[in-house]
Amino acid sequence: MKKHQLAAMVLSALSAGILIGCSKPAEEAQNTANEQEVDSATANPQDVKPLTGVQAVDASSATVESYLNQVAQTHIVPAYKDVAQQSQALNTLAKESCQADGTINSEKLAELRAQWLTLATAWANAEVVNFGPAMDSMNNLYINYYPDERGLVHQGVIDVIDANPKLTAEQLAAESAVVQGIPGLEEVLFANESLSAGQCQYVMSASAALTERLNKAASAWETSPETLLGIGGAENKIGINRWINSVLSLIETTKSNSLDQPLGITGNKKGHLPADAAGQSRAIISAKVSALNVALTDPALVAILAENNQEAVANEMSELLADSTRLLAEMPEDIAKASPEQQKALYEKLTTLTQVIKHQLMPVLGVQVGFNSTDGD
Amino acid sequence: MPISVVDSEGAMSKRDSVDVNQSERAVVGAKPDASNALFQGLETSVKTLGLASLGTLALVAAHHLGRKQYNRNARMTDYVDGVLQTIGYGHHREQKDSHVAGDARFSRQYNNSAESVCNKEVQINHTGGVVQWISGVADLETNEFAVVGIDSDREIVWQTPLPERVHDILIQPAHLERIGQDGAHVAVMGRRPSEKFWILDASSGKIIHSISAQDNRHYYGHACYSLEGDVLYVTENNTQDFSGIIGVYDVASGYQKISEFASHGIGPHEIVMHTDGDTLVIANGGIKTERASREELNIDSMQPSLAYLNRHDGTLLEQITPEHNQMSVRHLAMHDNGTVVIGIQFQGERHLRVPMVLTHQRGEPEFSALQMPQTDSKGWHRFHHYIASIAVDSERNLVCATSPIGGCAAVFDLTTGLMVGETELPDCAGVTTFSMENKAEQLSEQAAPQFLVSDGQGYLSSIRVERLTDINGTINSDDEQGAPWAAEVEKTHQPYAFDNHLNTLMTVTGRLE
Repeated sequence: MKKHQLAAMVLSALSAGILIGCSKPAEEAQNTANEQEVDSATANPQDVKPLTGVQAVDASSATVESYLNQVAQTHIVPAYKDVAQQSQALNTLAKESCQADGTINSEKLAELRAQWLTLATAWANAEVVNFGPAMDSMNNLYINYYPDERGLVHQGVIDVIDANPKLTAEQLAAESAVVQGIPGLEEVLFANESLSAGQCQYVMSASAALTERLNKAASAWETSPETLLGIGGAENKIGINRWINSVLSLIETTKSNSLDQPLGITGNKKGHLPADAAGQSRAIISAKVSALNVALTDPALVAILAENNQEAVANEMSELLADSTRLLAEMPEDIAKASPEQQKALYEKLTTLTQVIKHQLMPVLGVQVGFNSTDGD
Repeated sequence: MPISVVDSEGAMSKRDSVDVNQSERAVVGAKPDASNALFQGLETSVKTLGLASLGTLALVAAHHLGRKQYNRNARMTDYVDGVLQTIGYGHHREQKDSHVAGDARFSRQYNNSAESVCNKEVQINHTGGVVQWISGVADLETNEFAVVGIDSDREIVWQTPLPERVHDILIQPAHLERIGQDGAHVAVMGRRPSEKFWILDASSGKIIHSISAQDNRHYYGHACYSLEGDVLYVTENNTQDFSGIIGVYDVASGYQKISEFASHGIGPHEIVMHTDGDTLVIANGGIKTERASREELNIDSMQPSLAYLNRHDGTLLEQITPEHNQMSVRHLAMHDNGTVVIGIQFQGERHLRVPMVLTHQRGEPEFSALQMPQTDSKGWHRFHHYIASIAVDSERNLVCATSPIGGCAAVFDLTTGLMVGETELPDCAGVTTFSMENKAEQLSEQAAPQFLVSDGQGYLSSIRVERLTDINGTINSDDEQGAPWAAEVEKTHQPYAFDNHLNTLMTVTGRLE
């Protein structure tokens, strides 16, 4: 090797070492800058109109109480009743289909799959309620263990069926949340082209256990909506806080768990799309957007906003939800197959919607966004 | 390569084309002297620099590709920025300036802060209220942060704006005459990871010191005073290797950093002083957190622990690890009898059920888990795997744990180890003992609450639990340990979001300036 080549190697190593060594503080500074950008974007989103002199509504007023009653009676109670009924329908269909020899052929399987999708979308619709008996003590994991970041459901269901091909609903209810509910049923119904007697038994037991769990939640909501939501006098403030934060939470978890992480929109890919095995992610996300649409364009809510001269907020939310619905309709059933631009456009619509809720809707309603519950410290 | 030579008329011909190598050779052949050697030297230098540049580019590009794997925002310009930053140019300087500017803005805000800084119509007791509790707060509409002093009627006595979200609030122990200090200090820690903490006067809220982290150190949200109040111990992170550090700050010299110890783990969070006065108790959360995204980088391999250190020289005295390596040891409270109570944040699979409140005493080989009553149906999942804060009432042997995600606060009886009461409090986090000298005169021992809990919706809720008795005051159970308890909650509201921690101050008279 010639001297100048050796010198070049040494110089390369030295200069690269200096550059790489110096890049660390720049990385940190950039990270700080990014963080600040995120904060300022949250505080002053470009596409959100600034508030000027908004006076929060009186939470104890009859109007708010009437609105909360409407939320309980027209959104929450029907949503839980519907999902419990769809689970019961799946159980009935499974019993009928399994009657002959305990197995299910591909034709019957198609019917079960269709009913499963109806059940899954009904639950996606009910997920707008992130409090109450179905959510207490992480009960929702037994209904819908999602996202299954480590892929536990697949092998878990195989193991539980192998261990006990005659599994009863009571026995299954005592098992881990991983092998129950909507994802467990999805695994068995969509990972097989026909069902064995053990798998058939699992579908009957899992749908029965799920139905019982959902019936309890639906019944509790029907019996005591005032207590569970917080309706009446001073409770109204708690109720409206709960409800609006719950709506916001559905948007944020949909964005994060159902779009951003599985599709890698803002970072590395993680987790999986909802109804991934069924290839029906669009249907699930559409059901959530539909639930948001019902919640945020509720006539009683629009009336409260109008009383406070904030019709523009109602209109903006309605437009954003209409745009989101349109974007979803243009996507394939499996949104992983949509173009990155389509995926990002939907994500951004929902991001703007969260900003409108946080910076415009919540101040008008006198609602405080969750603070410590999203802290992570 | 042939080059064209233009003649005096500007005409160009094939004949005029010459080979540059021939030309060079001709030159070399014509002048074999010093200028020839100089030319050769220049040629070699150019080649060397060219090769070096190519080599540098290749090495930096390879490093950049690696960086991109974990930092999507990485740019090639970071390397040039880094060099400029190191030699004192570029946006690093701008950042420093902005810190100064931030401080100046802060001072102005403070001077003007007789009224609310958070643009809230807060009733401030200007007439010299008695500060009983101190908490960090936020105005979520304007994204502004402050610390407030609260009196026994749960009204705001003072508020001090701060430029970032804060976490723990530490009250200096009241042995001030020993260290020649007029009033107790309050140490306010920035939220993890932070480059600042502040020292306030407890009675007025006035800022006394603003302390900045050293290079390669971030503050991790918590600290504790020595029992004498002369030293502050701060949990820190070494940003170069993610190792946990305990920074030692001398109060008398204006909180100069005088030493630091290894915390013997990653991600040290809460730190408390043992009742023996010589031992630091540290919750090593075990989680390696990326600064910008707060993404947790080592969830599968994390190793949380509770570490006991000699506070004088940092010697590791004892270290205990939980039964599951994803039980992040995060928050602590100290009982007067030397029992450490630990609040867990579980990072493992959501369906798993692990105990969330543990205890430990020096010398015990492992943690002891508190228990749920047999009649309870919710179990540990009620906390949604997340305890935000812990407080101990040593006199009554009770513990209160809060969970903003679970939306509840629960009280445990340390005598039986059982949970004895629970109340639904959405977004609750801060918890401290209720005991206060002036209020105790008004409330009988039986009627006084044990804990005060703050939440993100602006409520300050007192909690009192007691065993149910009959009209004669007899406990309604043959088995006293299993007697039912009742919980009583009383709420007041302020137009703030109260932050993660709340602390109790013994009587300090307010003197707003």
